Amino acid sequence: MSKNKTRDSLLPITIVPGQEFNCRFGTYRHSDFLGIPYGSQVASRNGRGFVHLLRPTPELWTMALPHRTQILYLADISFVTAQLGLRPGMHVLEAGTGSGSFTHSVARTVGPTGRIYSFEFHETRAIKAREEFQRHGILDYVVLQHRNVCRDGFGLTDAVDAKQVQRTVSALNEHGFTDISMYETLLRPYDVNRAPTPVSVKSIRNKLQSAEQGKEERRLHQIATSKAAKRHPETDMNEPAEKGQASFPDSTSGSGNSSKRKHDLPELDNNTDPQVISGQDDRGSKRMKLGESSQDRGEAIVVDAQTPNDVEDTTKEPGASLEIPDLDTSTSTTSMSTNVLNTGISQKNKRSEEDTHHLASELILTQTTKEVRGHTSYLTFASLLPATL
Amino acid sequence: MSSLVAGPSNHIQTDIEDVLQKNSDSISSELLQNRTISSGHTVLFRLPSGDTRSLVIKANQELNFGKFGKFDTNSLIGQPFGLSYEIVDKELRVIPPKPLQDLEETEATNELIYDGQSVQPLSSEEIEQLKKQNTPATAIIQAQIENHVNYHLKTEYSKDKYRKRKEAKFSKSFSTLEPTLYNVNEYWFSKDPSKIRELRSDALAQMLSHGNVHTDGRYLVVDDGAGILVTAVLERLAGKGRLIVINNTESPPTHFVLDNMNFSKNQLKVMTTMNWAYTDPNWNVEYHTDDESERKNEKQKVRLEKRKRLVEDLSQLRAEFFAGDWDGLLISSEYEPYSIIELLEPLLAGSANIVVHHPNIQVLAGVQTKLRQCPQYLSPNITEIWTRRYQVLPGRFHPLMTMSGNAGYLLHTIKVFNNPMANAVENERKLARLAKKRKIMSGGTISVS
Repeated sequence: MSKNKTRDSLLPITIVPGQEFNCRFGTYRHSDFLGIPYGSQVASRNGRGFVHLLRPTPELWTMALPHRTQILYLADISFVTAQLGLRPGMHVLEAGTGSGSFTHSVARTVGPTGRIYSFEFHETRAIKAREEFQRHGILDYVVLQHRNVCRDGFGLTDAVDAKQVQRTVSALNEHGFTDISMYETLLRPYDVNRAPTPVSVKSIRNKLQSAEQGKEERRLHQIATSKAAKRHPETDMNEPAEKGQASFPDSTSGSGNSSKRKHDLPELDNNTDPQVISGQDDRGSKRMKLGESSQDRGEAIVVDAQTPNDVEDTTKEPGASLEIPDLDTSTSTTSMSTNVLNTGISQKNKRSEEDTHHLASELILTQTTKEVRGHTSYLTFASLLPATL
Repeated sequence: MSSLVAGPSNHIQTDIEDVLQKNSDSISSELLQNRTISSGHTVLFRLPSGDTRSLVIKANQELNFGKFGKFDTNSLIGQPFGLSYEIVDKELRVIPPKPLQDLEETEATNELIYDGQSVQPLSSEEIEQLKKQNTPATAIIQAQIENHVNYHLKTEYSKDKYRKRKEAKFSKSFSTLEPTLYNVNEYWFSKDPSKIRELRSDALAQMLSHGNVHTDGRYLVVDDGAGILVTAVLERLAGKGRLIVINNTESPPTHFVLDNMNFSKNQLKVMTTMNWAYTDPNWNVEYHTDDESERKNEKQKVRLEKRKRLVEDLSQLRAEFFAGDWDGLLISSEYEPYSIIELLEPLLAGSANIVVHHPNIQVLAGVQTKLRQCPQYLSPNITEIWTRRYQVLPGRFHPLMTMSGNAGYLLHTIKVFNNPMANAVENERKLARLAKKRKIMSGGTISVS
């Protein structure tokens, strides 16, 4: 018997030479599966995909078996196994074989020297379970009985490690069980994803501020231009560009699309606008020095986290008016990824700025999966101790 | 041997007895032997205060549990595990198990019970006096109840709680616990979880399931948690199969949890430890054996023989290790898990399980991200273990107020063999589909295959 697992779908198959196997990942001949090691990936005959052939285990069986009843899953099975101290050689009673999920696991844990005595009152289910135990080669240590143990008892004397599945604590109590405890246990699966490190809100604030500022500058420029045009009607609207001033893409292309504002303005590379100068000092920090004319507009600055001295230097320089809202980065010496400011800094500068701060540009994030499969039962445990020796 | 019995009940009785008869020899005698207390065994003692203590019992000793009493160990030897005893004059008397008392609710409320009142007139000196007179615990508690100003005002539940609290204080009794994996794990987890790398019993149980750990299996284990994981695998192997433990020191690892388990030599023989240096196939140390003719000294000859044997054993071990085909790899380590997996993956059989436990998810998230990019790891996934315990008392069933907050996280994946052909086929299909799409969009003609 082998299983295949393709992208979280588990299907049990029994290899019968001559037969074909069809699934949404393609067609396969059973004979293709013969002779290759477990764990192999096999391509489908019609090129629709592939499967992995896995060695059957009780855990895989639990996920793949055809349900006839509600079954126990790995979390509950493991918990019960630990609580009851199940290990090779022990004898276990199971009242209610059901679909055999728990039975397979216990058989693996206590066999081949131990035994699991499993009782199922539903005849069809008992027969189906027997077929599976036989096919899976564990029938030697599973003793399956078609019997209603709640009504007729177990019929066992001198049984060891009895586990009774009863519905209420008081019933247990009445029958002399002590040390009663109850648990619920769940598996919470996690998704793992990569995402860019969240960026500080200060960077968007800075972007928006420079966008506002840019808009204002263009407005004033347009006013000036139109005034000039009125005085000299024959002057071309493109004159500002000829004069060597900054050409603003918005005015030439005519689009007032604000989204463009967010990107760097490549034109500013050739910008000779005396009002905006971008500079770079030898320590690699990026600073914006402002001309006097923009003093009243204020400005926000990127500060290199590692060189707090920059801030003091720039304040000393003539004509610079700086507002440093990023006070924490200016005084700290952390190397957390700092915020990259794009206040009209040229494309080139922006890129190099990013390079120096790409340390934590990506995070690995975990999250419990959107849907968590729960359980439908509480696990109750009790001890049956001899009253006398 | 056919073990299936299906049919009308009148046939079942005899068949079951038949089966039991045949099976009685299969019940591991070792198992039975381990379930009675013997001299030299570790025994876990549960005291009335709720504490558990782990002690090695030797015959003809006196065990002193302080205020809970003292007794002669001989009265304990030969007893089965799991019983409760009362200590009376250094002798042990078995206490029959106490069922839960169904309590009938009364009209009592706490309306007239005020905090800060001095309710207990029996002073500590008086209580000490009673103790010295060897008054049984029940009498002391009864005296306290009788003198308690507000006892009659309490609800039945409150009275019960009060009685239980006093019993925990004055009772001269204890129970024994079998040092099973579960009990030992719980013991260490409450005593000092950092020693076992916070591997709680439910998390450990899930590791064994994910790893399909069973008798006659072959496993590689990396355990920096005092050997709790090694213990679990050893218990499951039950003397058959193979276990190589890789550790980070030259000397044998400090797996002191193993000592609590009363493992027999037979159970321990399947395990060998090896340090990381030997996991490098390209690393070889020349073990120079001195010229034998020069060493005639008897002692030195013996030493030489020993050394020779060690070297042979080591090379045999390494040969076995590198031969591979290991059924599973289980990790609870201080070292970065991906680096461990990377090193050992080539030695695993196809469809082998890799299970990693770690107290912090961030570490496992990093590992899972790397594993996802390698085709030889199938569906690596991370799960968190969550368990809640309930108080089980008649009329007072509810989740416990305080419980263990975390059991850590598990990463599980299955080693598979990548088939480049299979992927190539898949990719071809993808490309063909894309090409089809493009052709349709651009209005060309396509043939439907």
